[in-house]
Amino acid sequence: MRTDRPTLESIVNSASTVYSLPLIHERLTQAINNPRASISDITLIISEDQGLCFRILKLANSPMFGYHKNIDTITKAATIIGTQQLRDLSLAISVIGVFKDIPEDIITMTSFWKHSISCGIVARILASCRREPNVERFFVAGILHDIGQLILCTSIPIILRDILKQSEESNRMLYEVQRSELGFDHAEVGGELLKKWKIPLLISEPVSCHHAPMRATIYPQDAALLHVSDLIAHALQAGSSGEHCLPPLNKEAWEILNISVSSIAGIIQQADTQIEQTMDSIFGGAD
Amino acid sequence: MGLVQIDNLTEGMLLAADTHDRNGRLLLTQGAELTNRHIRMFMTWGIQKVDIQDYDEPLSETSDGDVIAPELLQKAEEELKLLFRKNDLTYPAIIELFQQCLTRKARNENR
Amino acid sequence: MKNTPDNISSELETLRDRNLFLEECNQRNINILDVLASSRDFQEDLNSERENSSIFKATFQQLKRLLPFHKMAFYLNTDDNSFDLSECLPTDCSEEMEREVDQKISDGSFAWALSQNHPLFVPAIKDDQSVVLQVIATKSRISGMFIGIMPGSNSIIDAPSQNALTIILLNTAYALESNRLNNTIKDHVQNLEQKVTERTRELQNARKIAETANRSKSVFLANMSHELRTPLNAVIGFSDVLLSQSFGPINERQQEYLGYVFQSSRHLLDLINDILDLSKIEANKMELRLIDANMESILKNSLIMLKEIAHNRKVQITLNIEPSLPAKIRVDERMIKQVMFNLLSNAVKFSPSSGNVSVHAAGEIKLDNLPHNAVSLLGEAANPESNYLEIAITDSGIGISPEDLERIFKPFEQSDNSATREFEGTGLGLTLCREFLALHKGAIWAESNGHGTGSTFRLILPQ
Repeated sequence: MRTDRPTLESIVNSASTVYSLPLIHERLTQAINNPRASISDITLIISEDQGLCFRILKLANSPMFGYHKNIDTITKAATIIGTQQLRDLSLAISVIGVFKDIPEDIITMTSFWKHSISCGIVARILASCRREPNVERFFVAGILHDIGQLILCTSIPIILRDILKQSEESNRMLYEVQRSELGFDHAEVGGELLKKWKIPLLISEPVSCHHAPMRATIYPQDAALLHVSDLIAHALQAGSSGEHCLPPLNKEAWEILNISVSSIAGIIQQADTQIEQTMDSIFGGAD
Repeated sequence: MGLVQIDNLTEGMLLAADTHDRNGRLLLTQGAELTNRHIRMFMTWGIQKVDIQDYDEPLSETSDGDVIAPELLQKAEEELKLLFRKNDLTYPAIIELFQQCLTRKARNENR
Repeated sequence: MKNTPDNISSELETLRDRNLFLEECNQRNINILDVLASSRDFQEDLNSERENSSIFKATFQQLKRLLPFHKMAFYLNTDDNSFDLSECLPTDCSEEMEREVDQKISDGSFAWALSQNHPLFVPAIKDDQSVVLQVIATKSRISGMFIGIMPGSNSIIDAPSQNALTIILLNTAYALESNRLNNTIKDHVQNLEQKVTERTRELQNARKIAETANRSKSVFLANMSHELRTPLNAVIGFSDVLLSQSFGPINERQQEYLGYVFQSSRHLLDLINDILDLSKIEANKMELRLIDANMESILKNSLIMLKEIAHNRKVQITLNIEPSLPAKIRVDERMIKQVMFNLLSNAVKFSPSSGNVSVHAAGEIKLDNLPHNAVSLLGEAANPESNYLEIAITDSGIGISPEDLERIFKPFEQSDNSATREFEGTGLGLTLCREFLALHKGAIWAESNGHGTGSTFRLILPQ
């Protein structure tokens, strides 16, 4: 046993001092819950961050939404997309911003985020199929599902590199090797950080349990949805988060989602039309 | 046969194909003669274009059956089998996911 | 930062403001919880109602408590996928609603709202109002659209209220769906009931017709037999009288012809009586007149009646009565006499000249000791507790082929052999025997080893 074996708590504690959630999320949450606030208050908060503003509008006009007319102002985006949805989109975009300076020697960032965004898009499509009221929170959960991996990259790079090598050589899933070597996996690390950030359990629990969806006690269906989305995103081979193959499907999770097998084709088709342009909306420069 | 913008639809046009909304709900069946109520109904569901019989503009996308070389298909299948090695390839959802990924991968590599 | 009085007072101001804000949020959240908690009553209302209009009215009530809508409407998805105004509040706002909806359909926001599962806030035609659109849908089915008009041009409601709105309209969607399913079921039930009523009526009519027909048949038969018997009795009586030559002598040819008349009319009378008996049995109108009869004397009397024919045909009859045959048996004597006479006269008729007929009678027989076909013939009447008596009549005639053993008990069937043609009976004799015995919970069957080996008719009766 390693003498310097890190604990989940220590890793998350130190990560939360390095990476903090942008204030904008807290302010938006307050504004949309405020009985007195008007749409202009919400618009004002987002407009303060020009980069965020630009990316939200680009996203709102991408095939992910497929709105047939141009959405050219945040006010319009707030009415068409919804205020809670706008808050969730800005959360996704700003979290990506938080981790922009991660060294790329273990995981390539573009590849990492491409996988995460693919997962978010698939999750969002699955949620629409199930007629969930707010599909954007599934998009966020998808984008954030592997951020634990990034934290491990910066907090215990040497151990993680060893774990990656072990997983490759022994043909075991990365999260399995993490569990046996560390006692926890990257999913739990990500979930714990989100909890520290006071992101609601609605998002943090599914992130924590996306490799063990039936362990979720409060939002098992959301965890199941995220688990399946991760799997489909892996199958699309768009980007990578460090896993060398498709994680095994948890059949119970698939069954509680009650999605017909025949809809898989449509889900993949829709995802294919959205991934590239969503990547461009979030990472690309001005047209 | 041709796709007609919703604004250019007029009463009496004949539908050349079944029309569905974006979620696959069947709205009107092939051969129906359009009424103003139909046109309004299409707008209600956000239909942008409708396939009309005997319309001059030819359909642009007619190439749905591009041929995939068998060796490409085989290569794609081998790669996917490696990718899916931790999954139960007899489970219906996985079978379907595998099949969909296979045609998608082979087609992408064909281009 | 130093704690200058200015700083403190501004901080106090911020805190007071913050406190006010939190109180307001708290108040609003309590209100939402109240509205949602009262949706229990609302749901019960919805469950008991079967009219869409009352579902809409209940929803309007609920929504008014939640948000400052001053006009609301429900559009229902029709069979042709259009949306028609179904209910609005106040009732005179329908024109305004139609205008708003027309505009929202043309600018695409209606379609957008259909694809979303949360409320959509869009500007109204009038500058100082906003419109809220929310689809009414269950997970599987879109049933309509809610449209609400609120004061204020730029108004957007807070997230908790939006979510409450979504929840309430989801309830409405399920209520509408359950209503729709209920109506479908009701339609099916009604349809089914109607079909059952129709079918019952048809069957009743058919039964009435059949009953009338049957009654007519019985009346007809009774009348006919009476009408036939009266002249027939005259024919029999007068030919008998003429044959007796009480009114003067007749020549030999006249005697021969009168003999044919007498025989034929007797035969006709037997046939009429048999038909009448059979039709009574078929109409379940044959009643048993049970008396304590003596089986041995019934057998002996029958033999006496056949003595002459047997003598003429030189047929030897032997009677073998076992001590086990009970002295008394409770039967309808007329029927059993007829059965015995029929069987014995058949046996004599079908025996060749100088043939033998033997009659064997015994009692105290259990079902176990009887052949299998006897039990199946008894059917429900079979009683393993009971003792049976058995009478077997064996002739030395031409025998019966195996395929005819059962057929001969059917009405108007005889063993299809030309040799039997010379002894034509009514064709109903064996049928009546079987029916009479069945009325006594007994049975009869024939046994034969085939052509040329003679045959045995065996009957059993419970003692």
